[in-house]
Amino acid sequence: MPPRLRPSSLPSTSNVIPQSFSSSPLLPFLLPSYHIYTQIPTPFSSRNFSTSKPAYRRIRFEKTPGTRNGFVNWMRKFAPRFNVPSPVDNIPVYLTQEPVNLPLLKGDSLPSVKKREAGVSRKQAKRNRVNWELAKEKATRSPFPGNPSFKVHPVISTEFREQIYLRMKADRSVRRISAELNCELERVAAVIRLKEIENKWIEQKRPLCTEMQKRVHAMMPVTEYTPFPLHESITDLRIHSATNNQLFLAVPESMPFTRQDAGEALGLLPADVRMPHSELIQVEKMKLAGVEVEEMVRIETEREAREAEEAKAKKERREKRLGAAKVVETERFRFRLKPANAAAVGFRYGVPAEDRKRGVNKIPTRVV
Amino acid sequence: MARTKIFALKRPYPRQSWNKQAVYNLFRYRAPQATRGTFYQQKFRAKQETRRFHGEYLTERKWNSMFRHTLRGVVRMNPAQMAKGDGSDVVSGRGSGVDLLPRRLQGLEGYEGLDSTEKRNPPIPFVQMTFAPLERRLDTAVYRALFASSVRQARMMCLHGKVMVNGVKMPHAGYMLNPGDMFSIDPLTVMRAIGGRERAPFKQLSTQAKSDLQKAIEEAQSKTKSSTYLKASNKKVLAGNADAEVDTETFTAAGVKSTSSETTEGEASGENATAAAAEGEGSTAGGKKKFHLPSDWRTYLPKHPRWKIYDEWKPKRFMNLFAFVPRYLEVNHHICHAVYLRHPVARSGGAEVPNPFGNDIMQLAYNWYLRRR
Repeated sequence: MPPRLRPSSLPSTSNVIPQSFSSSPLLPFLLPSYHIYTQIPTPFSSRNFSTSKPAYRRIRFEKTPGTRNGFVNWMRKFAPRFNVPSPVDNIPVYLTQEPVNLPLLKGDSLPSVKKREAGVSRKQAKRNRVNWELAKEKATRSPFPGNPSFKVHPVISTEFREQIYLRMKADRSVRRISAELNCELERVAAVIRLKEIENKWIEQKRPLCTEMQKRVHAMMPVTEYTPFPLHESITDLRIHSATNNQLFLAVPESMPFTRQDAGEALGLLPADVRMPHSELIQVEKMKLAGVEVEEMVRIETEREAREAEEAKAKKERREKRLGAAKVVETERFRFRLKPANAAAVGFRYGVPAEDRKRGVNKIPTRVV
Repeated sequence: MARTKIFALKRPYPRQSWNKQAVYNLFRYRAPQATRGTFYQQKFRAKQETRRFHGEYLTERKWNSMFRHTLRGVVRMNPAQMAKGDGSDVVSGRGSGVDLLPRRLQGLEGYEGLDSTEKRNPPIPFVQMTFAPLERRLDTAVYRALFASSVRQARMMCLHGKVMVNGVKMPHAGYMLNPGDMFSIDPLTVMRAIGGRERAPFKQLSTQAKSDLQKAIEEAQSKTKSSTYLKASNKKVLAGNADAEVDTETFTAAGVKSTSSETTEGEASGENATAAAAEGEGSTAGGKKKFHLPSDWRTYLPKHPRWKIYDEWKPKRFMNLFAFVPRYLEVNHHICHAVYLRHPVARSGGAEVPNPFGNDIMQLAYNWYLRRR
């Protein structure tokens, strides 16, 4: 049931903030309530009790008063406050709804409305109770007011991308760039890929949409480049579906049960290995052991060289394997002919092939 | 039958669109009360509400085949913590770790220093991942990368063959992206899709101007000597000469001049090389025909980029309300390319699937699709 407010305490048109501040993310909070699920009381009602219908009398979709269900009025009065193509100081403006439960100040700092100081209006005293910092944080991070658990994560700025690319040019591995700049491994690789294409376009003198990039980034939270940026967590361990089920295991009380043991019980590798950037654990261990910085750098460089060698060997093996087949290039296909054992063909015969059926749309599952 | 009025104001539903009526409907949308009715009714209602937002153009059968009851999640690991111990402290004591504050001591004075584990890690909202399989679809990913102003528009782009996946045209909106797939759209298409209203001269060309432009192109391409009333540089452009096309100086001049292009039709516009190409002094004196071209006629040439939109692009109305890119995508708006990094996941305190519905409704919707499974 919506709050049964008395008409006198409802926001009136005199509360509406002038339009000149329209890019403040907090402003929509201060707008009067205006949606179909609330009864809008008639301002001329002299009754000081609620005139809204009880819950069981209310229908789901009430007609909002006004032309086209209030849309015309909304477009004129409220839409300009939500349409902010260039927000001030790049503070994003997202949708907010009324009525909103604004976060209040915690503990002793919460001022009382009844025992307010002289000269402070009731409205002002109420506003003083609100934790505006938190409200601002919420407003700039959640585009869907009905779902507080969805938070917008910032994107990395153009300069940040440039830095990633420069580090790649300086022959640093993706893993190292990722650890240095606190970006996920996949993101670093993708940024480099995209940057390569961008450079190709510049070479070809194809125009870039710099204006669009600039203006789109001005509307959303962006992580600027700093020497030690904190963009996102890089050690997110994927929850394996084997760990979702309960597992009852008898373990000796006197023995420690470690991550290694847990991995063995579940038939998985331990989290120390499965985690991306597992080498950071070794680094932290060295830090705890008080290893000299030069020594740490040396060990890390060795590890990188070893990993690069392994990756190279793996790639070579793969190419060798693929190159074993005889390749016949045609216009449409690239046949890779391999010696096959004809005796195993029969297993396909029982399976109905649907590929010639009418209406079966064959969407490719992968594009190489 | 699928509803045709998707942005209706009388019975408003939330939609994935930047349309002004969709924004109004989203603004006044309130989730239904989840506690009324039987459990079946609650689930059905929740499913209705959520499906109106997520892939409403898909049939229920199609979505049912995409739904997976397994939901992806990640846990953030702390290497510094892991280096300190082998993990045995988490299960020490009675099996739940020694640092957990016993219930009898919770909320007592002097014990605030110890935090319960729930407080440190807010729960993982797994139910928010119910519609995660839809995020793999190409059309949804195009919308999420801010290349289209609605999912339906993104779908149309796919079906019209505007979207490339790994450099190959992919005309299937239902293509399921794999981690590492790169999709791209022509920047002009994107700029028009998510851009504000363009200037009038971009949109329409008078019939007279159209036919004149056609004639001028034919003239230039015919290589006969009759086209004397065209300047040499313009002739090159019209004939499709590549060298002339990258002549940026001329184009910037065209861009500057075209602000007053409404009036240039039929009027001589001075020494500007691009404006009204055929209206040189010699052309009228020789008694030859006169072309009525707008000053930005170059932008109407086939295969020729409309340069102005690159410099004067403005966002579509209400774009700021939807301007965010989820973490599983990496987008470069310079070249309108994006990479699908991985499948969306839920993590402690937030899920990556953009979704306007609260946990209670999503829980009910998830339960609806769980049945018979």
